[in-house]
Amino acid sequence: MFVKYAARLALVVLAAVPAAVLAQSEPCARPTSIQASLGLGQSDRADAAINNTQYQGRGPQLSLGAAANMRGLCLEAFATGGAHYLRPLGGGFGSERVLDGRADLYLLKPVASSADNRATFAAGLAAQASLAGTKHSFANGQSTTSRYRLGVGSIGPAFDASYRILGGRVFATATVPMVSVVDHPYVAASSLDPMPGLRVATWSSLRGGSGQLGYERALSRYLTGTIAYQASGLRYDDARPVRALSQMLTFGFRLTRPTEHR
Amino acid sequence: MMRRRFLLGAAALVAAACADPTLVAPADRSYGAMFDQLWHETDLTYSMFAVKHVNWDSVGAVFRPRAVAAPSDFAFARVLADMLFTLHDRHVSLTPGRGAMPMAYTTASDLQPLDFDSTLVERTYLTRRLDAATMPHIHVGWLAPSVGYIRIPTFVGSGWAGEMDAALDSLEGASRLVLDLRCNPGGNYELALDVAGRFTEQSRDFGFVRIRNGPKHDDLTDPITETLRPTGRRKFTGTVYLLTNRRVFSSAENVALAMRQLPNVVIVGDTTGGASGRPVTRELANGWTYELSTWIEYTPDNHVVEDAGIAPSIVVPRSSNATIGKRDAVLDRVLQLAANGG
Repeated sequence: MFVKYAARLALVVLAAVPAAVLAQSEPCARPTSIQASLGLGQSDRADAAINNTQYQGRGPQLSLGAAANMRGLCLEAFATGGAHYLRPLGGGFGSERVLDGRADLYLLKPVASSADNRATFAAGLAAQASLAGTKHSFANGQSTTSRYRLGVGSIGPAFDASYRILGGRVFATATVPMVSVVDHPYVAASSLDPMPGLRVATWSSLRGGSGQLGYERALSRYLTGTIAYQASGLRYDDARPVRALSQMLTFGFRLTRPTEHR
Repeated sequence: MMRRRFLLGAAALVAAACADPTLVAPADRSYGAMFDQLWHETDLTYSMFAVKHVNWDSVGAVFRPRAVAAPSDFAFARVLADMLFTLHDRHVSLTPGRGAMPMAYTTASDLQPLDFDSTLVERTYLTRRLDAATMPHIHVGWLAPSVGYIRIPTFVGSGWAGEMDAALDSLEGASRLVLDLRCNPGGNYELALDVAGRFTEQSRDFGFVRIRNGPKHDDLTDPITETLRPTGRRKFTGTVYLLTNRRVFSSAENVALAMRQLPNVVIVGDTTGGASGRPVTRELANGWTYELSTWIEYTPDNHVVEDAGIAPSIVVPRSSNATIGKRDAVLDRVLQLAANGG
């Protein structure tokens, strides 16, 4: 059901782009390239499977990406991961160690651009998968710990815009999950029940979004420097609701394939 | 002008990123709110309402007024603990603050004198006690020239199952082995099965569990098979006498349940305590923690382990061991069996 829905959504979004507009747009905002970024991430989480307290922490974040132009479509992939040590907000107790990772795949079609190609806009589809493992340490003096996990795979529309300014380019991307599969164990993870218990979640039970806003500027013929702020939020309403907000600020470089450098 | 706007925008973004977002409202720490939190989480999490025949709504209605009217934290903790004790579950407890003793359910049998004296065994029965320094979690010795003895007082902790390899190395030449779990309160499930895996050369299913997985009391997973797998570099496949009594609980009962499936194992003593719920810890808004059972464990023939325990193959009832300080009736019975080739 999930695959069928995703395929239908992809067709609808891509078909909605008028061909006449495509004719005057440039291929993609980003040329074929690979990218690596390092930065600082902040994670805020409140998972009722653990307790109803908000935990917050910061830690290093690594992000890798790649972009490719294929037959008029822009394919972009990102993977990011990090480790955070979380403390409770609002006078809560205990502490958490979170390891999380996320992979995003964007399939975009250029929709419009200004006459001088200063501004571009693309729309398409994004598939995302994220997994967060939490080790919660209780403040009971007995060093009790429990492990929890939250895995989300989702698909939804995606948008990408860019604007040339100050000798570089400001870019923004955003995506919203329309349908998701969620693995969120009801009680602490058990060695006897290690397999994901997947549930399908639609917009009525899982709301969220993610996006990034950044600036990039060519440093040499093949190398581009980037700075980006990324954020993703999740509101999952179930018997054990989850609220999560991840933010990160990264600095990195993008290496462009020589033949595609612009 | 454009540059200034750009820099202002970037500064605003950084300021927004540094703010503390509020995802949930701060918790209410009044007695009423914390009582409701405990009652509700127990309602959502506890796995054995049906096994225990408890009407949780009624329990909540009885205890809530007492909790709200509690004159002190101590009295409030007492009310919460009393409510949890209506579940009659040894895996359910309340720890009212860091460093406080857990308030756990006990029965009248806990007040009876112990029917097992480890010092009597070591003083009277062991002909030779083996190196304790290399095996701090287990006690090893010889009962007779060909009968080894291993006592495991607890399965608390992790990563020490390898001591069993050293113990079995030191008991090289034993044709029979006594594995004494009496008064073992349990501990780490994985560790316990890691120890038990030293006594089998092939995997065997020994029971199944159903884990709470939804808000309704009967929301439980399909049966998940429990399997004992061979572990460790050293195996013992001779006759094993596994000793149990009424104070064997939890993971130690898992060992008895698992080893009961092995053809070379004879369980001797008394029925185990019947505490099988696999607890998880939860937190109240004031930092107190409590534990709740999250699964129901069954024997292969579909009997609930909770409260019933694991019965021995050869019963040596508690009354037989009344002469504490002189003889250990269970060990005497085992030595008799070993001498007769049983």
